[in-house]
Amino acid sequence: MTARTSDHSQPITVAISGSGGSGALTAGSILLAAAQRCGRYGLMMRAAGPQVRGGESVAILRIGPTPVTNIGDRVDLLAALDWRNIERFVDELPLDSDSLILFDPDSGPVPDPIAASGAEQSGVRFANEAKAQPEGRANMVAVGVVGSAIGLSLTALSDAANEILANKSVETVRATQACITAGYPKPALAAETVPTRSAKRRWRLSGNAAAGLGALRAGVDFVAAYPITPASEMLEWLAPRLEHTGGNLVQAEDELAAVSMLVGASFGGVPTLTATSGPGLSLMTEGIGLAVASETPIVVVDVARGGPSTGLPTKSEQADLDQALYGLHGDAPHLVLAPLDVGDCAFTTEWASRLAERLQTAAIVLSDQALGQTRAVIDPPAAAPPVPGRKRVDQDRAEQSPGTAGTAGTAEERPAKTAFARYRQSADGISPMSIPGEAGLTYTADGLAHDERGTPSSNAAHHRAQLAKLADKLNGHDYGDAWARRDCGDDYTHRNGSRPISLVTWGSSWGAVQEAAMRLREQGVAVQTIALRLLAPLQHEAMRRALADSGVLVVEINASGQLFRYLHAERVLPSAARSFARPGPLPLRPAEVLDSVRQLFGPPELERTEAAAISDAGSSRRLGGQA
Amino acid sequence: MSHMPTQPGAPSAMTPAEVVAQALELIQDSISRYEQLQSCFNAHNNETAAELFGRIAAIGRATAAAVARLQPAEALPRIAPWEFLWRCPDVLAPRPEQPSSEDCHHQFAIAELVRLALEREHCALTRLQDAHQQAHIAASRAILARIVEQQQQQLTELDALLAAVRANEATPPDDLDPPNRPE
Amino acid sequence: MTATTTPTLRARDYLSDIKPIWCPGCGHFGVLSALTKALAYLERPKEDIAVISGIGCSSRLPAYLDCYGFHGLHGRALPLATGLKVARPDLTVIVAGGDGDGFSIGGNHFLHACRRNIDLCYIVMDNAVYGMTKGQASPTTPPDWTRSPLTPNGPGIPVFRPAAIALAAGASFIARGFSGDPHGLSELVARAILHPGFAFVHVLSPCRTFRPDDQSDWKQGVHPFTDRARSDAEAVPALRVDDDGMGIGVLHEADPTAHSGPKDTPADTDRAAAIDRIEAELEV
Repeated sequence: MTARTSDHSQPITVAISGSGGSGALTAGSILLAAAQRCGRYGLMMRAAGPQVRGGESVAILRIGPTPVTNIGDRVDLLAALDWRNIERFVDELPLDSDSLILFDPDSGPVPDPIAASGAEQSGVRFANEAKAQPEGRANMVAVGVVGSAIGLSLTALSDAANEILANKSVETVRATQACITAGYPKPALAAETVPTRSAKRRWRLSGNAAAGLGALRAGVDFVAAYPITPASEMLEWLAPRLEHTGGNLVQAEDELAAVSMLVGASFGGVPTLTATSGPGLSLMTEGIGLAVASETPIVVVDVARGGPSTGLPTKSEQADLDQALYGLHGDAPHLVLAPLDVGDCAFTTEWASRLAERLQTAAIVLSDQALGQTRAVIDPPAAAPPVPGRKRVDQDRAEQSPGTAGTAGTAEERPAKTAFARYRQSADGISPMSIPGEAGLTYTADGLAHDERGTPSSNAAHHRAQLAKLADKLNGHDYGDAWARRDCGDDYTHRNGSRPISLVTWGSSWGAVQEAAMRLREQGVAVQTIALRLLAPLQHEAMRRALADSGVLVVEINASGQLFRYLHAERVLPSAARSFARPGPLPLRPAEVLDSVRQLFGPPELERTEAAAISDAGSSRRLGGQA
Repeated sequence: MSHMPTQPGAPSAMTPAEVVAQALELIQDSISRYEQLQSCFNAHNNETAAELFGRIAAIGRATAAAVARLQPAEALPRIAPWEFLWRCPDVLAPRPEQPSSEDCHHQFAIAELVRLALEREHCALTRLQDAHQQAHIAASRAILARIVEQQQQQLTELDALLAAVRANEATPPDDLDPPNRPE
Repeated sequence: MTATTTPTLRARDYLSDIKPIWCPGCGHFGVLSALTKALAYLERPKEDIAVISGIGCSSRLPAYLDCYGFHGLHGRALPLATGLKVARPDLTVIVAGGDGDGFSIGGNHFLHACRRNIDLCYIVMDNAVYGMTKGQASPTTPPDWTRSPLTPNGPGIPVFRPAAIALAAGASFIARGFSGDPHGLSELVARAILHPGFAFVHVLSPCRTFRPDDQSDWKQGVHPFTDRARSDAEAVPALRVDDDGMGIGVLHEADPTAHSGPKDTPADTDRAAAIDRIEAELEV
């Protein structure tokens, strides 16, 4: 084993690849579960071919003693069960001369594209070893080999296998245990000596599950959705659990229906949520606009994938920001939020739901495949900040008492008609809302421009007043400091005329940016990270204050610099701010951010003036600085 | 409500209370329709027509009040809408002799509107007269006779209204605007 | 007749004070009358009723009632109502709209609402024309109707047959009514509301402005549907072959429990405890 794999004080990235149902992903799941049992942190990403079953696949894990925020720069250890179609994953397996490849020599030599990395190679006869066990499987031998290499105890691996294979037959589980043990070096040689920390409360879940948990924490009681990759797991996680919390999930006929079902359920007084991905978000946009105009709270979680069109269904990209911000026709202010890591999917989704309920609007939560389908071992995520619930009428009923409206000459015979001003102006722009069943407060919600009662009106003054109300209620709300995750480190100061660096990012890019910042600090660079969780309404003043007098780099995974353009359009960036934006689907790696910083701001060890850094902006077309 | 009612009993065997209940439904239904048209013409800025239907509805309400006073001692039975016997065509029901949209729109000739209302009320009178002739129970027959009187009185008032309207009738102007596109 | 006390609400009490924008002579007035008559007869409290619609002349109906209402997106009334009814099964949810809204832009939802069999009453006011956009052909417009400049040679495609399609899609209650007889129509509407599953009421509701040429004889054309309420598979060919589209009455009525919508599952009484248990699953 290399020095890297045996040093358990640093995070380590391992990959297991295989084809034809070889169980690479199951092996990865067992390793992650074992890491949880050993008190480690970790995350696991996966890549698979287009086949529904029997395709080639690879599980990539990064395991560490401290929270793991991203997949790292390099695969330290690759365990290849076979080499079929491995070329599809070459880009996702960054190996170098410090990497170690464990391969089965019975499957043939290491293919050129892999060998070209210069990684150390070591043959392990996974399949042959497995054959020695009845019903033995090569992937489980690999679990033993890799598990020991990264310091997971045999007990933890064994327990993890029992958990992951809980639905399998007794024979399968017995064979699995035998194979893991066979792959695990003798105790004297290996990590059995590594203490199995009694894991304090540490969770293992995917971003999709975390988002589902956030929905439950927020009190979401109605979900309607249409299946779509990579959002379906969130729905599948929610469906059985909603039954326990008293909620309902409806599989709709399409996304047009799903979003309308949310609006209907929410009109009935129930917090609602759907999950989709880019193509579904496109279909939902008309319904989201209806929620905004009719002031009916809904939450749409977009587990984004690569686009445009059908795009890259199984892979990640942060390219739906433009649509989330600007996709609705008319002036339709709404909430756009983005979780920053797997655990934050719970926090942000819960917060989004609470904000939507309070502000009677639509919230779009921009998760992505890199968060949603990544399983992670994390500390339990915090609860979202408290937000008052829907403003109901009974709070100020007297003010809202139904009046008698004019009734065309026959008023003397008619009973009083309800004249509830559902959309009346108020100091905070939030109108008290009644829900069906409440007597004397009936109204008809409308997507047509309307007056205070909701009666359709094309009157200019009504239109202006209602538009102003929609904007005011969002802009006037106090979002506290959860709008971003800001980390200034210990030494974010100006020195010798050099300005500190602000790395601005959003969503799933936070992890790699954060690690890049930590490495920069180790090199003596003053740097802060600002990861936006609340993208709309943008917190202009707070942003400007946070960025004051720093060199700004905006980092994101899309081709056109969508966040960078947005922040510039909103005038929160200094004019010299720079962009690092590249398309997906490969996950952002800290080294990319470091390279970009070096390119734009000069070698970090040299304290250069910001002006010099800007003149060195470079000519790469991905650096989307303004003219 | 767990079940739908069955077919009503034979009209000839109606009790006085049933007669009054049926008659009130007949009159109230007309009033509701006139009020609907009042508000409809109002919405289409034809104030003359709206006002006219307001007046016709008021005449109807007077008739209804008079009929309600004929109510026998026992409580009136509740009639499901579909148990109502004396149905008449709607005032503005489409009819084969009017094959053009120009015959029915928001600028209706006022006299024509009164004539249509009269047509409906004449139909109502016919229904009441038929019921009167068929009624076997003496008390019911007597009440129906009074109701027929009230209906005739209403028609007299409508006739007078028609005469007044005809005296002042101006040809409705052409609608110079094509149908609107609100959505 | 049923002798009971005077109902607390009369039909007119269900009307709001908002004046309909419908043209004089519009068939939809008859539907509004029939609906209010049915609601009064059923003694449904106004606040327990929600009327959901899409876009079009007929979809303006919710605002004319003093009930809860939602005038939403073109074609999406059924899913909006589905969400409401699933979330709030205590409410009486009525869906109202037109032939374009329900059979064209919302056609897919129509099929799946029939399948899903949620307890909704869906009233389609079919005048075989797009009124609000000024007289274009709808799915129920005959192929040779040439009065729309958008389709000067006629739409040229066979008409959508709402009742037969609803039957094929699994609707458990199908009726056809005529807006010119609000009393008769109110019975169909009341039965549809009482039906404990998806109930479709197809209403012939003439447009006096854009279709006077061939809808003025509807009153003479409608007739009682003779092949009543067969619930077996024979009803499918019966509707397809025998029905001339003008038969009035209940065309089909089946046990709505034969296929069922989402089940009510007993939830944990303590929501916070349920979430705690769910979170505990995430630990080792």
